[in-house]
Amino acid sequence: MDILLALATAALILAGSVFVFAATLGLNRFPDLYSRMHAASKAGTVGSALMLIAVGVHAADLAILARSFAGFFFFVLTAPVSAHLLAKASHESGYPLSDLSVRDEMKHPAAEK
Amino acid sequence: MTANTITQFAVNVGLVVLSVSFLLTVWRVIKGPTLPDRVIALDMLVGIVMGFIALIAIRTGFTLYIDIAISLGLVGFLATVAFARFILSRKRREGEDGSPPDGSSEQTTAANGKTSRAINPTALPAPQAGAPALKEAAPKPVRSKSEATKASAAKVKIAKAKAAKKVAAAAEPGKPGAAAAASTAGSRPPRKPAVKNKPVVKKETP
Repeated sequence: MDILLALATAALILAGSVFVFAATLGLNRFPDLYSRMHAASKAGTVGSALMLIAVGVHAADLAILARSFAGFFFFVLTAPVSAHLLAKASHESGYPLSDLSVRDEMKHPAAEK
Repeated sequence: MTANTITQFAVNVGLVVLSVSFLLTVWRVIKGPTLPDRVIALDMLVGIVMGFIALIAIRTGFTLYIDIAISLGLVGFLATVAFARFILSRKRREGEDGSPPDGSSEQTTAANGKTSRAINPTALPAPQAGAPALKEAAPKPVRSKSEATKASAAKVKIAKAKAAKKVAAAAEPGKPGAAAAASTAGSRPPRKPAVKNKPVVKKETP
């Protein structure tokens, strides 16, 4: 039982670190502000949230597990909100998409250019 | 192979991977061509630090670290929202993303920054008032390059003279807003009209 718990913790930690590393690769390799945002706000969030759950599983205590789940849900709920706000703000204030992107459906005619 | 060694091994591997990710994200913060790039990278840094805190909590056994991680996430969320509002109110600046910066920091007004990137290198010296004249000149079939540039240069000169007159006319009533607009319009490389007119403005306004 102890070993099982440790294996679960180790799996969560390794999965979380792999997710965070993938997010960082995306952050450095993607061509565009808006595509970088995908990497940072999805993979990065899941990575940190998995590590928080790993703490709860490792402690094997219901109170700590509940707290870690609270942190998990808080982080998973707020990261998309902030990323969306940031993307909308930067799109509205005129930061261009990369040349590789084929379509900008939010470009309204009232905007400048 | 006890349970403790398994978790310690996983924690060590996770710490190494997180350190590499942290350094790469810092690299994006340093390099990121625009402000939103840096803000995204900072958001990502908050997530990575939360992972660090969780790993330290596992390693040391102090589960109180979870609360610290939660509050750090709250602070990071609020910081990102505040930065988003700031970016929304600030607007994009020319030359921020590696392109050559032209002009001073007075370009925050949207129209100024957008029109300054003109088609023709000879068109660059023209202030805003010169833009319509150049647009008239552009569609004509280009006979020869020197002729075209001469013609556009002449038009630019005319436009400059007009702009100078306008500036003078606007500065006469001594309105502070008009004077400021005139100074921003004339602050491009050939700043003779603006320089000529500035003393007049200064005499008038007090």
